[in-house]
Amino acid sequence: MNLLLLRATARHLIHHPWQLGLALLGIALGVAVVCAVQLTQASARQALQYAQRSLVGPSTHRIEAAEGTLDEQAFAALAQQWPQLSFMPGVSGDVMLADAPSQRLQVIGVDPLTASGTADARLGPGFDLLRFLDTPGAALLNADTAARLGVVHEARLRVRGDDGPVEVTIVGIAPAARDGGPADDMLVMDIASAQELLGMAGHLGAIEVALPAGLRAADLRASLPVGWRLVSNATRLGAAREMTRAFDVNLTALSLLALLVGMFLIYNTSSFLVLQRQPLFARLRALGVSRRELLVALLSEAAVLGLLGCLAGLAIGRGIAGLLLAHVARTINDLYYRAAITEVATSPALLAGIAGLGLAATLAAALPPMLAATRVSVMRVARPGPGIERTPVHGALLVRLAGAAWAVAALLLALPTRALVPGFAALFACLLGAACLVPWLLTRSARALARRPALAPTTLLALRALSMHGQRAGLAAAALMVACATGIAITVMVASFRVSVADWLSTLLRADVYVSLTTRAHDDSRRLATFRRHIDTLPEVAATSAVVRTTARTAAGPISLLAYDLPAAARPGFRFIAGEAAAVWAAWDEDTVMITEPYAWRHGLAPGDSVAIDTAAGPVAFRISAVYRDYASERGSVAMSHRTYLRHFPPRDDAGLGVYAAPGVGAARLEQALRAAMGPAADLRLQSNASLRALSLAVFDQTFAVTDLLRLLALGVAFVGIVSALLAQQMERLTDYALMRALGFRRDELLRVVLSQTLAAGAVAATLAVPVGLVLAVLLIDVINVRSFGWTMNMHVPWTRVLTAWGSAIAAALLAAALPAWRAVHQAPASILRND
Amino acid sequence: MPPSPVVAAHGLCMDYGAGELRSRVLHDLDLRVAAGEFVVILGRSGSGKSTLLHLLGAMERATAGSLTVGDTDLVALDEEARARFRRRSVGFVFQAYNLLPTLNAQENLLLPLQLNGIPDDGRSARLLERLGLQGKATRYADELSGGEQQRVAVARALVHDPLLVLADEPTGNLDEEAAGSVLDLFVELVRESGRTLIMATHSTETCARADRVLRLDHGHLVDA
Repeated sequence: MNLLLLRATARHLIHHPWQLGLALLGIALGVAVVCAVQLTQASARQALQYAQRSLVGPSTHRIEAAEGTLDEQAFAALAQQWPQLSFMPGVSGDVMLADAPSQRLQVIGVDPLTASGTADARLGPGFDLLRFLDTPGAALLNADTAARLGVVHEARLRVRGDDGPVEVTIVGIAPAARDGGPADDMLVMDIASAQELLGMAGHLGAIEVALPAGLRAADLRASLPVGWRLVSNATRLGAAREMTRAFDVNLTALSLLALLVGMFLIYNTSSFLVLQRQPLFARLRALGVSRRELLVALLSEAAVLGLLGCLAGLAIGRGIAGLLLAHVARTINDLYYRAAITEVATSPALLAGIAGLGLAATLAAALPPMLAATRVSVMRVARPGPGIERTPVHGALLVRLAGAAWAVAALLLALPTRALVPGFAALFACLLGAACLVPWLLTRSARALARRPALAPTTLLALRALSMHGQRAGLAAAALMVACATGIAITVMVASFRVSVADWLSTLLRADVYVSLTTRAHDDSRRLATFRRHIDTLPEVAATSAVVRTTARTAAGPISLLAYDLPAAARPGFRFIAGEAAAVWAAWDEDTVMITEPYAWRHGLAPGDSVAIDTAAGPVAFRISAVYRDYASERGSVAMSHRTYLRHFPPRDDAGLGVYAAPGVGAARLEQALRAAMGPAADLRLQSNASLRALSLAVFDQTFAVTDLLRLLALGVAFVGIVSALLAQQMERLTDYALMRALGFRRDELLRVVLSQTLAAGAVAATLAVPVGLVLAVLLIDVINVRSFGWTMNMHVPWTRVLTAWGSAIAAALLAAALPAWRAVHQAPASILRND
Repeated sequence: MPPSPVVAAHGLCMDYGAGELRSRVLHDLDLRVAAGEFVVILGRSGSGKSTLLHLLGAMERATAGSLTVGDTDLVALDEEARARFRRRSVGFVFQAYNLLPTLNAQENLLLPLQLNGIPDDGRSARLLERLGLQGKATRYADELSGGEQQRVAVARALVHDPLLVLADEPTGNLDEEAAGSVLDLFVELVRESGRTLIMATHSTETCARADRVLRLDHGHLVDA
């Protein structure tokens, strides 16, 4: 490579730092968003791994109960039956810090004798077994958690357990999670102390076991008591990863969208840099520089820019990941699995991959303008002419491209698949097709308007500029349209989702007060049932409903099983998507089940089909009577009547109660009566209908906070793109403006010329973004959401927010024009004309 | 046997435009220029002087006729081959200087050397000194006067010892004094090196120094 040639092309950038800065910013922002999302997802995965490792220790399998906990005496019998196996019984549960209730810790109870003998990493290298056994309430924390809580060795920590505040003693600080220690926010205790703290005396959460080579899992499985099961750790880890797959794909798609907007910016900046250096390239070509040499020099320049932009993007992305992490952690913990996601994972391989993606995107976006540079006519040397050539829009080509993109989108949507990736590809193709139309629409509109008679000179000049130099303004407008349409689509999708969830909650939650257990009351396994019998006699109570929530097994894997005991007042709360209500309730107690919409979607089931569920007497086929709307779980549930449940499954305590007030009794009075009935134990949680609904919607809003953040980032990238494109356009036209000034244009007139162009570009982009955004919203609602979660919803367009987005796009365009306009009106015309 | 010419053109034609808009700028030109010859081409604006230089410099391809420079048939060359030819065999001085603004004076000279793989054995510095540009080697185009820029352009055209030096109104943008000084040095250097120089100009003073003067009139070449 000829370094002097590279220097000749690149020095232009050094002498135009703002162009260099914008090019770098465009690359950096695009990469930053992808980097932030990827790092956040990697952090979540890493936290999950740490949590799993902390929970499973050095085991290969786990024994757990199909429902609830394992009986400690049954475990003793199992251990006697398999003396050659090393079992590690454990319990786990959450406690909160007594002095900081918002800070939760996960208590893990392990058998220190077994664990220390197997070099369990959870205990750390310097584990003092005697101290652990001797000290009442002894516990370990990892170094990071200890530092965050300000806890040192031998410190006492007050936590709130089942019976109020309890003091634990930190007898050791284990290594950090990344160094093989316990997960963050995890308190490792002796099993007996943990059982006491969590109110699980006589019960085990799970038993870890390391199966030696030669022992078949099936043999151990066959010897387990009824209701116990053996699950391999690999399966469990895979299942947890699978749970968040749709969530991950959605976030990745949003981040790639930001990169796409970034690529618009890079393309735009590159094409401007090429355009501006046309005389330079012509001179190089006149001196005999070949096209290939020129292309190599320009691509090298782009690679250096891309690399610098990527490095900056990685640094910015690392910062944004810190912001995203809290939102994503809360969503994952609320919806998927328990893992303390506290630190941003930064593996060199991941960072290198992101940088590679950013570099490839940069080169791909820069390649078309660079190829154009190599085709610069050498004759420009002899006939320099105007500084910048026209950049007309190839309308027919753009329309064909748009048509092709939409045809691809239609084909992808027609594919007989439920996969998410083709859905997103169709969405992107649809968006790209619309983006192709923007420059064409802009120049066509400008040309048509410019034909109107008696236009003011400033308006005419602005319109002519748009029609003659439409490519650049069109690109900026396309980037703005993409960002704005995406924003509108996400807004409509989230609003539709929220309205559907609110509607579903208001239909489903028909009771006046809901009752649930505050802790797992193992000492009284019938606590809610007892309470229900008691309050059924109260005059304030008209009726009660109850639900048993458990996990059952099917051939396709575990399912969430709900057993409802419903009064007549509760039944209208179910909204059926398939199945007749009258028939459903008529056969409600006759071995029929209702399934939720996500369950039906995932398993391809409909009314009339059946679900075979394992019972104590073997698999029983339950006929599906209906599919009902439910947004509680994306994995789906199967619901049956409580009577049906009792015919096939062992009795279990209710998971919650719904209490209906007697006529004339308000919710407040009912709640008061229930509190009085509860007595001093205060082990039940009472929530009014309104507060439960508000809480559910708060969780919903929290879940989508990360989406909002990413949407704003994409808009930010688009905004920088518009500034860059407008600056480029105005720089191209400096000579024109200088000439206008020389001809006697006032500054305000010139300002009007510049701003009119921007306003027109912004208006076309924003106006097109509305229908495009609505189409994208339909795809998000009817394709992406259904394929991701199995949920359908009614479309709800929040017109005020859509109009706000429309206005914001135009305002962003005008704001972006401020700097270029200032440059245009404050330049010295004589110097520009002389240089030309 | 007379020496073989550096430039041999026969029936050379050049058209611009297409269809009804096609116009012929050069008509059936026959031209032979011997090695070491200094030929001036005179003509009014639009007579085709620059077009002829562009054809000789392989910047454009003739519409019809034959054109050989050295041993190279320029009509047969594709665009990339023409670029290689320009790099190796042509030094061009433009009226508008056309220095690379992003390279300093010396770097502008080094570029043709590097493109041709010729090591700088001090010739760039010597040329700059001969042209009175000592101390200005690191100046950029916008830091040089018009005369200085054109002297750098002259040096750049000669530094790689091209077969053919072409100059299109090289002093057209300069005042009389600067023009005289640049022209003196230019011709002197070309003569010293024994290169062939073809110059399009209006300057009668230049004609007096030329070995031969040709006149272009509406695309037809006539002896002056």
